[in-house]
Amino acid sequence: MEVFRQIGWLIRKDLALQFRTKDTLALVIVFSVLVVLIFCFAFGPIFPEQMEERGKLAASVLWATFLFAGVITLNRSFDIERANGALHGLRLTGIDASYFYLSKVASIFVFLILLEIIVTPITLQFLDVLAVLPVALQDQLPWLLLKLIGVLAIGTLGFCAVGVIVSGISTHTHGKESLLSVILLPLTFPVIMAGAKCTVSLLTTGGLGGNFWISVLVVYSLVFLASSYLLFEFVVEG
Amino acid sequence: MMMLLHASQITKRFGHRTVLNGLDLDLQPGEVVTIFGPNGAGKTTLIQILSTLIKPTAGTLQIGGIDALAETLRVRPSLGLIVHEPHAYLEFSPYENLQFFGQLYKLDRLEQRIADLLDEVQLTPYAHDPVKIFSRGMIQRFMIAKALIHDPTVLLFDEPFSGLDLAAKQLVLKRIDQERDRGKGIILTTHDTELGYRAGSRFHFLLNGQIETVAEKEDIGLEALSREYEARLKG
Amino acid sequence: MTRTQLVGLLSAIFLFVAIYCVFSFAEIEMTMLEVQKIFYFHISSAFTLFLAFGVTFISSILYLIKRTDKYDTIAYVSTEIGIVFGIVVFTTGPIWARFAWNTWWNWEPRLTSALIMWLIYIGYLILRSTLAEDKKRVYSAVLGILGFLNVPIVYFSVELWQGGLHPDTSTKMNLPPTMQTAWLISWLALTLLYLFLLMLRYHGEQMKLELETLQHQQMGEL
Repeated sequence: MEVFRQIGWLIRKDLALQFRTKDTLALVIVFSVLVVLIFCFAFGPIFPEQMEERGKLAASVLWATFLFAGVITLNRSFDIERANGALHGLRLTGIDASYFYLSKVASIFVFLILLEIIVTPITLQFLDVLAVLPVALQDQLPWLLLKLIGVLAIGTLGFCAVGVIVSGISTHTHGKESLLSVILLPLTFPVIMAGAKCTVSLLTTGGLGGNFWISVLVVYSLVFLASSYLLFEFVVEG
Repeated sequence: MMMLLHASQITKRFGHRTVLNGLDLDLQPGEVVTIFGPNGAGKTTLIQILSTLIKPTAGTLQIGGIDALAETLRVRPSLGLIVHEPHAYLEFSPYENLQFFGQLYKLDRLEQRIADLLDEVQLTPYAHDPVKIFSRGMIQRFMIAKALIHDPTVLLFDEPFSGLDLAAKQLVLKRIDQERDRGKGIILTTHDTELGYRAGSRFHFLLNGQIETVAEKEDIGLEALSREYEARLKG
Repeated sequence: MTRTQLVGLLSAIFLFVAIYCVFSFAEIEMTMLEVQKIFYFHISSAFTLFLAFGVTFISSILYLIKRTDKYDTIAYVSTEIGIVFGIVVFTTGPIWARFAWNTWWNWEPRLTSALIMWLIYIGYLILRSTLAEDKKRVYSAVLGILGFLNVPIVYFSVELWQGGLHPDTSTKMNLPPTMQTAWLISWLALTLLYLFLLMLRYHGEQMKLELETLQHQQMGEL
């Protein structure tokens, strides 16, 4: 039980820092909305007629946006740990590196999910997806949004699983934040691919259309949670 | 008497640069070991190795009789460290920092300890202000409180006097004396001979990656120590 | 003759034999004619690419267990060589695709997984070059492991993505005997070439380290 208490304090610390410095949340929300808008403007105000095509557009915009927002969040979160040697302060308490990993995954996950809950409806509205939804889906809109958030959650978990360990490494390149994306983006291709497929399926049929893509997301999350959990000690202790 | 810290043949290389070269150091309870050395002599590296934050290239380190290189996580709670970085979250207030780190150290009667420590370093009025708005001296006082929150048995101070005003220097000296009298062991590095002499009970020079000369406080005066140090620096 | 030179000589001989087999011995494919010959080097390079990153993966694990610099050096140089073979794969691939499927790029599962893996290991090299001396070996090893774990998932995803509409690539292995031989020999030749480059680069890295140590000693004496 001590373990959960300590992890709980670590998560509490991370969330407090993220919401204390309100600029992080504001920055990431504004950034995400801007990315969505850029896609909207690039596409022009007239979106594809067919639901299928519009769903694909919405799915790609959503996932691309959350990927970029995730990179910013990770960078800022590890900046805080590196600045003033806070990470050394944590190490000196003698806690296990894996607690640090799990708490970081949890806190970034919570933060990104919150962001997704705010930005997803805005995106769907901007891209005018809701208007062309099949009638059957119109009736159960809240349920559909909930399922969408569920898919986003699994994808985000996979992203955090690998993102936390990679930014734990890239934070040591001293301020060259762009390096995180160079390795994190190709590592997260399966998340984007599978996540977008699930999203399209949800928006057009209301279901996941077979379990293939959702199982890719689940397998990816599990593989990288397990391997990063084991490898994180090397990142913290060198 | 059991040795608090025993470092033997510590060597640290960064690439081709050998910073520490087969260094030996012991620390007994109730001792204050002062290590003098010019900038770049490897004082910070030594403190980082003794505090288990970085691993030596070769050598052994025992803290409280435990192999610190093998059972790193077990020895860490017995260490208190003050270096130029606060090792804390400056967005948080002193109270929040102490509470957070106290919880990770699994301390009992935490509230009382926090109140006492903040009182001692005279930060009680600022207990709930974020540390980042503090002056240099206040941050230094906060760092003392943070390093002592878990009542460590081995204290490692890296240049604890740099950038401090007179009052803060007095506070650090007083605290070192107190901890020594309580049977703790303290290693401090400095290039300030006067303050280092005032605080220490045993003196070393760190030159060319090795610990040189040992003199107990009874055997040497400040003048002689300063002259000796100057002479060693010139080679 | 050193071992490296021996492997070098062998790979040179096999490369010549491979070129002979590919252009004179193997029969000409009916639909694609001579263009099909690019297949031998394309597929062999792709195999070598996977081999190179596989070696990176294994030596990264060994480095984390044993902490001997040798394994780190092997992982590093193998990645470099893998990147080079990747360049071969991604120039020959489009040429093949242009004639076989009338398009320069085709999201074929193997090609796509190779591309993503190639990008990951380019990221590995970039990140490695910016890390501090005392961190870079451990961190590179962690990245080397994570990068390779991604491969099966990527492959599986791209296969799903294609929806199984793509013709089964395994039919390529049903080759006439002459083609089979030519392919096997070019594969062997490129694997030997990989081995030769690996040894060469490994010794190169060792010499670089020695040189740096000597330079440092000399500077210390001055």
